[in-house]
Amino acid sequence: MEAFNSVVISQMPFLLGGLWVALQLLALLLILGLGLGLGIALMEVYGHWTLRWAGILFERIFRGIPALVLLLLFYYGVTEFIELSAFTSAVLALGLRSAAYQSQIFRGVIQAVPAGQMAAARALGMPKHKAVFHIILPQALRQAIGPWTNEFSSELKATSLAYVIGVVELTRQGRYIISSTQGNVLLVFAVVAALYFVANWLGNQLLYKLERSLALPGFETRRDD
Amino acid sequence: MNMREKLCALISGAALLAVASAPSQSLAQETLTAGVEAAFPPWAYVENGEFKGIAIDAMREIAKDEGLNVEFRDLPWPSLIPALSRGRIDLLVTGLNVTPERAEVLDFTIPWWENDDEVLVPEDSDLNLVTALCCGATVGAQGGATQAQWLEENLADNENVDLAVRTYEDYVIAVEDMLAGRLDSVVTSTDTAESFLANDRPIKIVGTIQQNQPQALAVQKGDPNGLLESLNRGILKLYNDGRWAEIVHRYSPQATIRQIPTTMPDYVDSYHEPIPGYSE
Amino acid sequence: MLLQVENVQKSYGDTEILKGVSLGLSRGQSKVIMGPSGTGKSTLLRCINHLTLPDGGRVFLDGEELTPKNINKMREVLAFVFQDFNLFTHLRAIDNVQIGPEKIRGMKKKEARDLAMHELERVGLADRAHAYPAELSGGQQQRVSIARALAMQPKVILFDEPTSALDPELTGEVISVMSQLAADGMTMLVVSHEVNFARQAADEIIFMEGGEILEQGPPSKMFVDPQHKRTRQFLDVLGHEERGS
Repeated sequence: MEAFNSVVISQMPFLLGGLWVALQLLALLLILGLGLGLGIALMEVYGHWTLRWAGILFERIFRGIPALVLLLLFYYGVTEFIELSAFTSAVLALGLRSAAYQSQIFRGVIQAVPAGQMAAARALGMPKHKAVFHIILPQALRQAIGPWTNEFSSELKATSLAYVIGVVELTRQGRYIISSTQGNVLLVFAVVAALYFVANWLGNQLLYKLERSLALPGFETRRDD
Repeated sequence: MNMREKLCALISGAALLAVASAPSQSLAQETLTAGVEAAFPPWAYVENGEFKGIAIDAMREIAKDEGLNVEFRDLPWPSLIPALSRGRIDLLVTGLNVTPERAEVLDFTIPWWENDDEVLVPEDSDLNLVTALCCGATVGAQGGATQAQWLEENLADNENVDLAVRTYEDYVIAVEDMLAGRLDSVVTSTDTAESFLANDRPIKIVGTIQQNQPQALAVQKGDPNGLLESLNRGILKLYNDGRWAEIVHRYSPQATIRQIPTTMPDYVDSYHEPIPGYSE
Repeated sequence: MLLQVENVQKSYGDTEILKGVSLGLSRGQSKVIMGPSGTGKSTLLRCINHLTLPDGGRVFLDGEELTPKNINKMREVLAFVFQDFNLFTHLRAIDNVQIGPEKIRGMKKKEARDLAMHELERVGLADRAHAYPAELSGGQQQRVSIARALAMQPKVILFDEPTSALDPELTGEVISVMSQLAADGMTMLVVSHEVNFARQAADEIIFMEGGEILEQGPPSKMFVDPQHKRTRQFLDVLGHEERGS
């Protein structure tokens, strides 16, 4: 209990600071992944075959390389050409990888929208891009929230890898406490784990709420939570 | 906008973000980035959000004396030397041992410390200096550190000694694993061992391996930024006016101050005369 | 001729679905296309507004030929009602009707809303304006989709078997809306086997078989004294089914 007070309570601001860095990294990488992943999915479903192959190639590359290796590649490799901070490198490396995963989610839900929806929109005289924007995406994106929640969780955990290129996030802050006190390994990691758990739980609740509030009659997903 | 235009806008937006967040070139030249492994007391660590340790405090003093603008960046131990050789950091400030392999990829300042290695076992262990390092013992050390390399080359690879080496990302985890019964002993440098004892960890030292291992700061091979002169001059000044002893004893009250420079091995290019900031 | 279809052809692989079909509709005319299934009736309809691209032949609307360049503009006034309604599932009934005038024709939101409400009233669904498609019966959904077509203020409406996905007791409401449209002077080309609708509302029956038009004429002639034996056989069976159900 004494260790808990002296270590956990006094060090909590630093752990929370680390969590804040992790959450910023998470938000930026998810936004990058969302924009790019959606673009790739649209390219793959509606684009010329060259674009489709480019999208598939991107997906294969970024899903095939371990996150850790991508981080090192961006920090040491890409920065030969453009100067990037460790944080930016982490956003790009993890964000592009997330784009590859998210493009799969989006491609799946776009293709799951019945063909009649596009036909009806085109028959009204809607150009294709307007039909995608007004008709296909609003339906597809609702269905994407469920699988996207998984992506949220796995990327939250992936942020802990960014310490290898010097991003001082939650896990690294935990390490600092362990090394400056030369111990408390279990205690500190238990608290770190609890913080990840809470962040993940809150994020998931928020996404479930969003999913429910956007649910359409006849298309509700049942979730026992 | 059609779909293709939207996509183009998106990609160029991402590129812009990347460029915008890069520090400007002139600023990067003025401020030196010192790489540290901030989980390595007493040399460098973070406490209450602040960089601390012998190497950190000494570097701050040297920077003040020499008019350098230094900022510290924490990187995990295995990343430090690659980061320096790729130019991601300008110098390396930590308890860095001088070794032939490292001397090939980086240049060392004059050595400011000399270390031996200590054999640690749990407080209640019956092992002694010999049994802790033979006869089926599993020994922990930090991956990439000189202790791990020494154990591999001299004991693990020797058929007459039955010993297995297990490497860890840092020493705290290694000691924790030893206390959990997964290791028989841990070999660390003298100052690390003393730091564990100072923190009342339930361990004891059963023996010392005399290494006379010099430690120094390091810069990129060939010293492209011309830092060695300032650093060597700064180290000597710190030593001569007594601030060095003060800093060392702040973190390691029992430590014996060695004369600077300590042993300068012949295999280090930057120890060949004339040594900038030292020979003159 | 308001709608002129000239020698439209379509094949899938070696199978010739449409062997060069020509037909025309004057303003205010309603024609019903009948014929055995697999005869190319729906394909013909989809080829007319290029939802399926024909291999050959030409389509003119109000004297202007449909081309890849003007197709979206042309479709705005060449409405299409689908067999399985295809209402936009994420939009309420009123928004399904409003989206065309607002997003395609660039009408102001308020005006588009009023127009949409007006069209829903026309199909008798003003009280269901805020229901989602999944909350409506099949007959109601088809009526909303007709309102969606009407809201574009089309010159011609193509109906592709508008009642065949409906339970028999729900076809009546759709047929009566369509009959009213025909009576109001809408130009309509309808693929359907609804004998009652054809008798009451059609100016002409077109009988198709094997990818071509076998014969066409006013219902009074076609139902009573068709020229081809195949036409007589087919319409006789239809007539019996109709009475039987």
